[in-house]
Amino acid sequence: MTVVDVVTAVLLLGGALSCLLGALGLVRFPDVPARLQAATQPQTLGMVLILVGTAIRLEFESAATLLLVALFQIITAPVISQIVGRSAYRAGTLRRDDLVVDELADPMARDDAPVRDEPPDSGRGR
Amino acid sequence: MIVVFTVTLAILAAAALLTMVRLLRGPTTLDRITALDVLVILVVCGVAVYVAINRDGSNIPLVAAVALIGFVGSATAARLVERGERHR
Amino acid sequence: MRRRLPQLFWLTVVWVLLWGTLTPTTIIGGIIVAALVTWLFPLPPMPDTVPFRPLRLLGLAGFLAFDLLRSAVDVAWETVLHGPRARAGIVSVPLLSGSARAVALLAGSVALTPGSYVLQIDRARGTFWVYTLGLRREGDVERVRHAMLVLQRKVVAAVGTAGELADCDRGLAAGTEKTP
Repeated sequence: MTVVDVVTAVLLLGGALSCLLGALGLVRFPDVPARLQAATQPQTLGMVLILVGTAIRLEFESAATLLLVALFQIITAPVISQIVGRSAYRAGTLRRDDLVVDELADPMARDDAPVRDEPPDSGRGR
Repeated sequence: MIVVFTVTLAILAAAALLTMVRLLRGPTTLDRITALDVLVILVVCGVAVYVAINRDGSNIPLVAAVALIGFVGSATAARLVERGERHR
Repeated sequence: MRRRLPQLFWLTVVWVLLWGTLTPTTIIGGIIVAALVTWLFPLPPMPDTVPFRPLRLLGLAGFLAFDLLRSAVDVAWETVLHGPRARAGIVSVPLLSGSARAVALLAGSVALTPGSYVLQIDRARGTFWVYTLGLRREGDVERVRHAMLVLQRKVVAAVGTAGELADCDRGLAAGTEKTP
C-alpha cells in the first residue's frame, strides 16, 4: 500500500462511517428537525470525505471536477437544511415537550404570520 | 485495497437501508424529502467509490449530474411543502 | 457591466472545470453560458465594496472545517447514546451585523455544522434564532449563544467592512444583555 492508498482508505472509511451514523440518526431521532440535523450534515461531511479520498487517486482534470462537486454540496446543503427546517417548525412537527428551551415561541406568536410568501428576511438564510 | 473498497460499499449500503426505513415509514412529507436527499448523497458516494476502484474518470459527469439534480429536486419539493402549508 | 465581469470569469472557470478539459470549445461555451446566467438571473446590487481578505476567509474556512468535524462527533454521540430521547432547544442570539452578506454567510455556516441551523432571522429586531441538538446541561444554552457570537465575529471579520467590524465589536463588548 502506498501513502495515497492509506490516505484514501482513511478518507473513504471515515466518510462512509459518517454517512452511516447520519442514517442511524435519521431513523432514531424523534422529530423532523432533529432527524434533519442528524442526517444531512454528517452525510455532507461523509460525501466530501469520500470525494476527496477519490480525487487524490485520479489525474488532475477528473480530481478538479470531483472537488467542484464537493464544493457544490457544501454550498447547497445549507439551503435544503434551511428550507426543510423552517417548514418543519412552521408545520408544527417539532415536538415541543422535547425542547429544553424555545426562545422563539413568543416572537413568532406575536407576529402571528409565520408563513408569508416572501418574508422580509427571505433570501438571506436560504 | 479491495478490502477497504468492499467495506466502504458495505457501510454505504447499510446506511442506504436505514435511510429506506425512514423513507417508507415517514410519517411526514418532510421526513421523506430528507430521506430522499440523503439517498441521493449515498448514491453519489457509491459512484465515487466506484470511480476510486477503477481509477477511471469517465463516470465523474454522473457524479456531478446526480448531485446537482438531487439538490434541485429536494429544494423544489421542500418549497412545495412550505407553500402548501399556507392553504391548510 | 463592470460588476458582471468577475462573475462571468468565475462562471466560465466553473464550466471549464466541470468539463475537465481546457479547449477553445469549452471556454467559448462557458462564456456563453455565463453570459446567459448573469443576464437571466442578475444578482442584487451590493451597496458597499468589501476589501478582499483571503487570510481571514481561509481562517474562517479552517475554523468551520474543524467545527464540522467536532460537531459531527457530538451529533454521532447524541445519536448512539440518546437517540429517541434526544433533547434540543431554540436559542436566541443577538445579531451583531445587519449586512446581508454577513447574515447570509452566517446562516450558511451555522446550517453546515451538524446539529444546528438558523430557524429565523429578524434583522429589524437584531436577533436570530438557532435550533441546536443536544442541549442537556444547565450552561449549554449560554455556551451555544457564546459560540454563535464568536462565529459571528469571524464571519464579519471575513466579509464585513471596517465599520461593520467596529459595530460588531461594540455589540460584543456590550455583552449578551441585549438578548431579548
